Amino acid sequence: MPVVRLQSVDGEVFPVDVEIARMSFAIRNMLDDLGVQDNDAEEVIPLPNVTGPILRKVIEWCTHHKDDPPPPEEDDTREKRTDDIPAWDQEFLRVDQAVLFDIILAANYLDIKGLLDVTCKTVANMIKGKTPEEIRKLFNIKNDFTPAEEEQIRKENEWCEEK
Amino acid sequence: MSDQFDQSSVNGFILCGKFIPETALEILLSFVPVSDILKLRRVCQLWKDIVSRRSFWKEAFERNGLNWKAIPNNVKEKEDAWIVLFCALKHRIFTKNFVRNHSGEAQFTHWEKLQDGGDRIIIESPPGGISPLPINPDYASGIESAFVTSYGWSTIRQKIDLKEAGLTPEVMKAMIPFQFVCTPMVGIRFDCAAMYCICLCLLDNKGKAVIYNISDGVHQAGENWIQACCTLNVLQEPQHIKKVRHLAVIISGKDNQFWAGHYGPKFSRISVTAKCLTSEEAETVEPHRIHVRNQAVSDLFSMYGRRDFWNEMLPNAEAEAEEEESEESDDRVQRRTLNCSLF
Repeated sequence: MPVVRLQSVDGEVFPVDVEIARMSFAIRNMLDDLGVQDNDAEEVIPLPNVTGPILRKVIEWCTHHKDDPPPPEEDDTREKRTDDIPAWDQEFLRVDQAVLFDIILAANYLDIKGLLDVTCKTVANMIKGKTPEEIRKLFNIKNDFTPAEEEQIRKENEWCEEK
Repeated sequence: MSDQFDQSSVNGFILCGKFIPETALEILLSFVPVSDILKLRRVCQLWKDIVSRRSFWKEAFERNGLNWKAIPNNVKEKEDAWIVLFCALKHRIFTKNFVRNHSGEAQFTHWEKLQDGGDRIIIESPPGGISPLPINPDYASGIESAFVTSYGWSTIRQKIDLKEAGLTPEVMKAMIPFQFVCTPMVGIRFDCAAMYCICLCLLDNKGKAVIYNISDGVHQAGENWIQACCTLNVLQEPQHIKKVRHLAVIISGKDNQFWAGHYGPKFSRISVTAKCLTSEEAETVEPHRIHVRNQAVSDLFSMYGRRDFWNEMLPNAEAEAEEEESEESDDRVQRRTLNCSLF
């Protein structure tokens, strides 16, 4: 199996099977642009936005999911439920919130749709059932509404609610 | 890391100290369950803004298995699109049939009998003297039944609770121009001619008619199943939309040969759906009548039951309507008051 070498921002180099590295559309494009197809094991791809520990996590996820079926078509309107995170992924994502967001950022930068979806789902599940104040606390967001604005939004939201 | 940003302009982008790019944040929030989406608007300015974006709703529709392309562009472009899109997602207002017990599969549950003429309205399962209903994947349950009328007018009504259906007055206001479409299958036996009348009417909190429309038909024996259609166009904000609570579906029929038994038209798969209109479509459809008086429709039907009467009756009352409602100067809307019992 041909191998590429991925280099994290802190200089750590990871040899990775091409097939696994190509699960990242960003890396796939780089490889295609460079014309690196086969057996050029010396090629090093620098990833200036990803640290070593996070890149290790990303590679671990991709390795586990390398045989997954390709993501469904754009037009596919089958319901993609938010509570169907596979057990392996749930365990894999049992990490600090800061690490979880780092993985989201890496998945976004490297363009790995499956990983971005599952990490976003995990964060969305944290939001479920919480009040706006609890959500702000959870993520350390400031309440930047004036009391009048808050009142207005409350009213607008009521337009859509049955009661 | 967050020190390098002006705090007020990036509030909501930074979660647990990490700056999340806009596209990723939209994807993240689109995974939030429908029941929690409105709450996102109350977290911070940025999140409120994201929940008003077309790109956010596109993601959210796809997550929930709804066809984003089926929502007309004019809805997506509305200023208050989020209200309509949220209700489309939560209540499926553009894809569901608001009528319950559409074919009499649960006898007369949810229906009131306003008139019970001839040998009275009954349920036939399966409907007799006619071919089976055409195949329709939306009605794949295998149950075939119909309301069947007799030689005197029979009229049934179902009042759809619009709030319960997700159509609060504010949501409807944001949907304008839109229409309700009622498309029952009307079955005409092989051996007897028949006539029917369908009425859609928005009722306010006191049961007064706000807007209504009627369509009717007369059919020869053997015409089999016909898809009838009655639309109710809401093109401009009716004066009383804030008070609108119910949509009444009124279905009326009798045979045209005065035969004992149940030879009248049959009604099955009675459906009412909502549809937003493009501005071009809104130009080509008729604005429906606005009503101002409070009366009971049952009396009207028991006396006349046919559109002839409604047509005769309504213009006569127009002068009075002008007088009483002169503050409402909307020339696209025909306003007519009926002086006798109506709604």
